[in-house]
Order: sequence, then C-alpha cells, then structure tokens
Amino acid sequence: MASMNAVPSDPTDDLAAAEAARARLTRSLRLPSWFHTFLGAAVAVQVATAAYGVEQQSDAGLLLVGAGCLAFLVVALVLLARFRKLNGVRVEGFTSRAVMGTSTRSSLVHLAAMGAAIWAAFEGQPWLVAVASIVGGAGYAASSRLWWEGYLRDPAPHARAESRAVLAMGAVTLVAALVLLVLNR
Amino acid sequence: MPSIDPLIHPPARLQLMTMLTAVSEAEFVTLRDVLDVSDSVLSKHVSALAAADYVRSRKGVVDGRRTTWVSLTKTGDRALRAHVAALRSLIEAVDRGSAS
Repeated sequence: MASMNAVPSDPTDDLAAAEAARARLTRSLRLPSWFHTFLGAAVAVQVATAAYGVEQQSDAGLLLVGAGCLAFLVVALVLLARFRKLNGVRVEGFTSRAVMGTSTRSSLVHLAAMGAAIWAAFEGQPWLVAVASIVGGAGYAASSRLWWEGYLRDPAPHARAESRAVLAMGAVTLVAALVLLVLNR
Repeated sequence: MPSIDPLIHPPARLQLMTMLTAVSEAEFVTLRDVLDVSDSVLSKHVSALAAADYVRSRKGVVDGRRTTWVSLTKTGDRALRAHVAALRSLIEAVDRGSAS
C-alpha cells in the first residue's frame, strides 16, 4: 500500500458517492425536443434522395445524392449543437453511434433501407421508395433510442466513439462509394 | 495489488473523475452543479488534477459566453481505474477479515 494515510475512511461510501455523482449527471441529460423525429426524417430524406439520385445515373442525380447527404448532415449538426447547449456536455459515443449511425444496428438498418430504396427506384416503384425510406428513418431513430437507453444504463462504455482505425475504414468506404458513383454516372 | 492514488483520494475528486468517464467533455458549470460545490473548490480540484495530466481543461465560447470545458485524459482514465481497483481490493480485504 502506498500510504495508509491515503486510505479513505470508508472506501465503500466513496465509491458509492462517485457512482451516484455519475448517475446524477447522466440522469440530468436531456435529448433536444423532437430529437428522434428529426433524426428519422433526415435519414428518410437522405435514403430517398440517394435512391433517386443513384437511379438517375446523371450529374443531376449526383447532385440529388449530395443534397440528401447535406440535409442529413445539417440536421445532425443542429441536433448535436442543441444537445451540447442543453446539457453542457459532449459525448463522442452519442455523436458517432446515436446520431451519425455508426452503431452496428443503425448501420444495418441504413444499409437495408438504402438497398431496398435503390432497388425500388430502379424498378420504378416510387411508393416502395417512400416506404423503404420511412421504415429506414424510423428504424434508424429506434436504433438511436436504444443506444441512448443503453448509455443511460451504463454510461462509461457507451461514452467513447469508435477507434480512429474504424472511422478511417468507414471514411475510405464512403469515398470509394462516391468515386464509383461518379465513374458510373 | 494496485495502490491508492492520493491525488484522487479526496471524495470530490473521485466523483469528478468518475463523472467525466460518462462524457467526452463537460462544461465547468455542469460539473459544479452536479457536484454541488463552489466555483473555487471545483477550480482547485480541476487545477490539481490537470497538473498531474489527469484532466484537461480548455476555454471555449457557448452562445457568446466564455466557458471552460473539462475532460478526462488517458492518463487520468488509467489512474482512476487503478485507484478504483485499489479501493475494491481494500473492501474485499476488509470483508474477508470480517468473515474469518
């Protein structure tokens, strides 16, 4: 033991108080109003515009894909700024997994919705594109809600974002997809 | 056996560092309100922990007002884990002693 003088009189109480302080902090956190609705709607718009943009195979289609991504990005940034202003904290795990959709669940929901919407666009089924987009947006919002509930239950492991290597892999995949889209337009 | 870290020993510092494990960064006023301490008390704790590279503080501006953001460093995270492990070992040792 380094120093007996440093030993707290009651370590059980000290640990309990520390965990209680963390619980007070996480319990005080609030999501901005209509958070999941805005997030789901932004994803639905992004999926729909991406599907039609890819289907058009033209410069205009590419612009449509970009506009959808930009709309999602703007909504995401506004939601994150409101969260930070409302709570006075920044949580990287929240940014990447709950908003930007890097959790496995969100990624799979988004991928499935994109696949279904693009297929429907090529098949000339606008109502199916709409359904895939809305279901995708709702699924994405539900994944985000599940992440948030998990964070409130056990904040420390959820607070961290992915490693830089994982984020770099994601960025490379995204750039490769964009390059393919440009080359095939 | 991990040793108790005298720098994290004061309960307010242990609470502060444990709170910071739940976020990437927190505003000074948020931490002060949750810990229910004065600005000067929190400022002293943050300064002591920052001097040991356990936490990092940076100035920022939110809606035109100046604010300070505080975050846990990797060194601080490791120190906190070791300190908590030491406390748990101590509790177990006391429990074993009481049982025998």
